[in-house]
Amino acid sequence: MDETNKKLEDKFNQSDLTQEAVFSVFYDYYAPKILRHAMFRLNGSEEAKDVVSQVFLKAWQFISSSENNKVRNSKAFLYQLANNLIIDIYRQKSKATIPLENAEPEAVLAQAGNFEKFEVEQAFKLARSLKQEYRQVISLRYLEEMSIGEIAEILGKNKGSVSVLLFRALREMKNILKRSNY
Amino acid sequence: MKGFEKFISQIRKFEISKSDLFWLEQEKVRLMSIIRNRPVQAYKPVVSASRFYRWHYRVVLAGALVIMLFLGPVASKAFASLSILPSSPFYPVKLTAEKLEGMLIFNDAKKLDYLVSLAQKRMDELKQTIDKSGGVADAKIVNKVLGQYSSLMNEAGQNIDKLASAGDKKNLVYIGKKLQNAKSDNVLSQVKKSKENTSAVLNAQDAALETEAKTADALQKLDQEEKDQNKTHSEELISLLDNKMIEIQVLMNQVKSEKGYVVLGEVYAEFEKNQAVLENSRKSYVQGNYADAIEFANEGIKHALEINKTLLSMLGLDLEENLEEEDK
Repeated sequence: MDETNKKLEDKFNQSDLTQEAVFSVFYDYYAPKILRHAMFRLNGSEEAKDVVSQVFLKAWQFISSSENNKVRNSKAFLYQLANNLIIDIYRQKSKATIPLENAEPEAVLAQAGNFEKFEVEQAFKLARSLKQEYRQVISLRYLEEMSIGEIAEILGKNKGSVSVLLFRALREMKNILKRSNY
Repeated sequence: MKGFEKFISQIRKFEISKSDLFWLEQEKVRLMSIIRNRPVQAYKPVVSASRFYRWHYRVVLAGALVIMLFLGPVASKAFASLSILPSSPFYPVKLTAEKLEGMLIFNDAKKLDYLVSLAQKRMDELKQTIDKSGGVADAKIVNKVLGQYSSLMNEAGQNIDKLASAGDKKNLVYIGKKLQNAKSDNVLSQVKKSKENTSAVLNAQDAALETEAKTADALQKLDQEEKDQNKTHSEELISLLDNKMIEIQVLMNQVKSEKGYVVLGEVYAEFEKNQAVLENSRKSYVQGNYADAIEFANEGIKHALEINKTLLSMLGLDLEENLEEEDK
């Protein structure tokens, strides 16, 4: 658990803060991260925005439905919700890999120069040709910079399985980069 | 920079745009208003909603279910009643329709009746098939029909237990008679001539005999239960009558001491008659005719009450008042 997350957790435990206020703090901190994660993994930014909305609604519903529903690790909890929703979207659409031409580069670009934009766009296009579960683990590890332990908690796997998954994802990614002379 | 490292560094450069940040702010306002106004009802699945949960699919499914419920039994009944023989390619469809029809019968007695009727139907079909094929039917078809007959009889046997535990004697008697007809010994003996059918015929005969024996057993048990009940009831009634006769004797003695022996003339004769009725009831009980014993005892009790009333009126008392006093 990173320090910011710990601070947020501490805030959550303070009795003088209402649940709504804490929820607002969590939203400010995690919503952009989850949106970025969803954008990396999904084809369109609209779907990614849907995911963000649903994640926070579900989280609120879970917390407010019962006093006993306490979240041990809020970060893992929110990313788990996001992952489940993303998987639902994949299931609804198709299990096939998303074609490169369908990508929406403008939705994923930073405010950078034209050349840099092009470079990031290229990297995202290549990442989209990865398998869904590989893209997920690469996003969590390199985009969100999470530890293996955190990823294991989010995916509900043990650390060993996550390491193996990450190794395979990197091997696959390297092959793709090699094939495309990146 | 190597390809992979370059790739990772490019990915890390990715930041969400200003317009997306603006959207996040707007979304926060929307979410907070939902949370404040409708804290629990806030959740409405949009992304993960499957087709099944959408209302128009529900309506279609409900419609289909209603049609199946209303038209299914009618269609299956119509098809099951067709005279399709086992040699026909539509015969399996007919069997399925019969099964469906059977599944929709929930009354144990009716279900048992249906099963025995089907078994009888199988025998009729077998007879028709033999007649149609000039006396020698295909052994495979015969075995198949006999197998169905056996399984129907076995199923009927299971239902007989249910009827017996419910004490439904009337229907058991009816089924017992129906089973006699469903045995169709003539057809079976005709088929038994072929060596290929011998085993199937024996199985069918065994199944029919077993079901018949089960019915007979169940009836015997119910008879025994009825007999036991009658025995207890007759014992109670004889004892009651006996007590009434003792009461009458006490009253007669009282009348004799107060009004003299002559007054009792007719009453004494009635008492003697009723004593004979009590004796008859006892005899019937000893002989095991509990129903007769009950009848005699009931008659005796009725008569004893009349004598009692007469005696009480002789003593200037009313029977109803007397009974009320007893109750108190």
